[in-house]
Amino acid sequence: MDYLTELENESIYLIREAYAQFRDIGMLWSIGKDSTTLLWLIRKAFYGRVPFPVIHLDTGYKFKEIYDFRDRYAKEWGLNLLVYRNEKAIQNGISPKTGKLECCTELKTNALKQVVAQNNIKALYLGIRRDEHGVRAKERFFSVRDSDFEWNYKEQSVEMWDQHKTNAEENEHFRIHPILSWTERDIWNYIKRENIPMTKLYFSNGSCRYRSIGCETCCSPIASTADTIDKIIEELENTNVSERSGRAQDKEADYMMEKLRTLGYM
Amino acid sequence: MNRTKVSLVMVGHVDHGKSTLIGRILADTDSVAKDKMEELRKVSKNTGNELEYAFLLDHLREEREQGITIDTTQTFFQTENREYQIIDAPGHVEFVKNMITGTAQANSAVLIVDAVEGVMQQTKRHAYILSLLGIQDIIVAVNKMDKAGYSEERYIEVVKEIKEIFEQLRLSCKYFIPMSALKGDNVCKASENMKWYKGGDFLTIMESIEVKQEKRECPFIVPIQDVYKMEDKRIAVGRVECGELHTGCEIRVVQTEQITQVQSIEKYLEKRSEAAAGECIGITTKDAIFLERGSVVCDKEADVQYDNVINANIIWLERENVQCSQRLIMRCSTQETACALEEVYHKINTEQLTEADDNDQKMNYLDAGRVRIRTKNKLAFTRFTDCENTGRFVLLRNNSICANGIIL
Ligand SMILES: Nc1nc2c(ncn2[C@@H]2O[C@H](COP(=O)(O)OP(=O)(O)OP(=O)(O)O)[C@@H](O)[C@H]2O)c(=O)[nH]1
Ligand SMILES: [Mg+2]
Repeated sequence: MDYLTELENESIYLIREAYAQFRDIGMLWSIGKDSTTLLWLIRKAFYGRVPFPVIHLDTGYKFKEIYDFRDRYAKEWGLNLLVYRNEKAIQNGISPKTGKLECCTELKTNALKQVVAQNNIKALYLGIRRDEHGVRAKERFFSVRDSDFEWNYKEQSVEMWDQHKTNAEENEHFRIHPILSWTERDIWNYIKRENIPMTKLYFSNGSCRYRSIGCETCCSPIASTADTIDKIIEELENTNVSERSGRAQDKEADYMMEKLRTLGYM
Repeated sequence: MNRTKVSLVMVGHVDHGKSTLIGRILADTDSVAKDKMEELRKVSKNTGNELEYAFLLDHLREEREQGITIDTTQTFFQTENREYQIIDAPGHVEFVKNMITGTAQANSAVLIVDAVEGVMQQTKRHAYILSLLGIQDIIVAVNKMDKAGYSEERYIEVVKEIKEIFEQLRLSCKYFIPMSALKGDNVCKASENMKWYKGGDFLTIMESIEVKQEKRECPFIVPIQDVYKMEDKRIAVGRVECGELHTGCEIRVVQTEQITQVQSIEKYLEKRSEAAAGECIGITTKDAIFLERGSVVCDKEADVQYDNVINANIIWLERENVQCSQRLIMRCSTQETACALEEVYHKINTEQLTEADDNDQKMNYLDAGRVRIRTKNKLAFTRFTDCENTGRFVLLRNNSICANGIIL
């Protein structure tokens, strides 16, 4: 079995395990390459019919391309799409300008808290990967978040041989990470193999492209002429800069990523 | 893109240099992004080393402050023919659970031993855990040779100590390497300081470890994960744990002894007439038989037992001990049932690798032993040596995994 097929099988197994354990489950779709790949795998696992809500946390600061892409494929794939905005925070004028950490906390973390509570969600599929960040590399496939959405990374449960912790306290929920073992290159190779649709933002407009996509306000494009998947893959083989270097949250000096993680940020 | 995947775990006593070795390999093969190297240089101040390679793995604040790995982590890198998943495991006795979590995902291992300290408690325990988990391809790295004056004599002494343990545990090891992860001796290039060693550097040896081939010959087994009701059919999904199956072949449901045939093999948007070990598939059956999560379907000839008595080797992972007849939960493949230990024999102190002399029918923190388990409901299982995934299990108490074991 080739390497990508092996990864695909690992992910599908995890996706089906989680659904067997938690029927009250949802998936977070940021429309980026990772969560779109995850969605593709989920569609495969369930024979084209996603049996739970697909949630998009809309900060209001997303790129126009993201909204277009979302609406097009939500329709084409027959998704039960749940768009959620933390309206109250937006009305209160929270924005990246008032503080990045606060903005993420309000528009992502707190928005997510509200969705989870309102929809009685016990588990959420997320498209995070170990190779994105050294802290994420420590994640489990099934990972508990407490009622404050905090991740107790110092006392994670044993996970082995496809057996996971599956019981949480009332008010806790699980994060399910089916593509944890994939690297950025694996994602692109798989997108190519499967012909997965991707937003234009990843492809060069002639001088630059986005390598990682969050909010328009907090990520910057990289200089690149890669306008096809093959060229992106080639660029990745030769790059000497890390994937998320264009994102404001990852500066390590003050352990910001860890702070966000324990705060329940994805 | 036809590289094979190799999952390699680093184990060994606390501070013997596991994280440093991984960090060093990444740095010496240019696998670390430039911005990450700069960050590393910055965070390495105050450590006494110009570059604290371990920090490429140890990312938690507490890990860096204490210079110790707390939780297992993984990093990925590629060579021409291989995709490596390198797993770092913590060496401190406090974090054995995390070590097991990491090690269970590996198919080969590197046991690292400090040349000055030699074999320590966790060296022994980790070696035992490797044997319990069935990991056979082990590279032994005798590290920190710089601190031992690059002495061949000392190296031979340490190797001898390790060989004794391996013999006792019936572990096999083809490769022993003297190295300094910190200075880079024998990591990615031959050391100038140890001309007496002729065996090749770590990277070269790593590239030559054999990758296990899936067993094809054995009769197939598919534990059912779930059943999806589609418009016109019910699809039972699961992973082929061993062997191969094809449409039309006869299948047996272990629990009900029903026999029928595979009507179709279901993969989304794929027409399939066969499936092999490792594949996640769905099946429909010719006769309408009842399948549910936990059902085990297999070839008529497959050697699957169906019983409520299981003999196994387990290791107990919780501080609070366990006594015979205490209620536990067993999970084996997709099955779950209540169970209890019925008898504990050959209890082993994994820190010393000696047989415990008390026979108190209890298992304490990190004790290992041979046990007989009685399950409430009958379980479909195999021996670990026949099919790994149906021959191993975990035990849970209060919703947490508290032990793991392999079936004898
Ligand atoms: N002199 C010398 N020091 C080393 C060598 N390898 C590692 N060290 C140092 O030993 C200390 C521990 O190294 P780590 O790599 O963190 O050890 P570890 O095995 O990962 O430790 P745990 O994960 O906590 O079990 C660090 O200060 C390293 O710089 C070596 O080859 N020579
Ligand atoms: Mg370490």
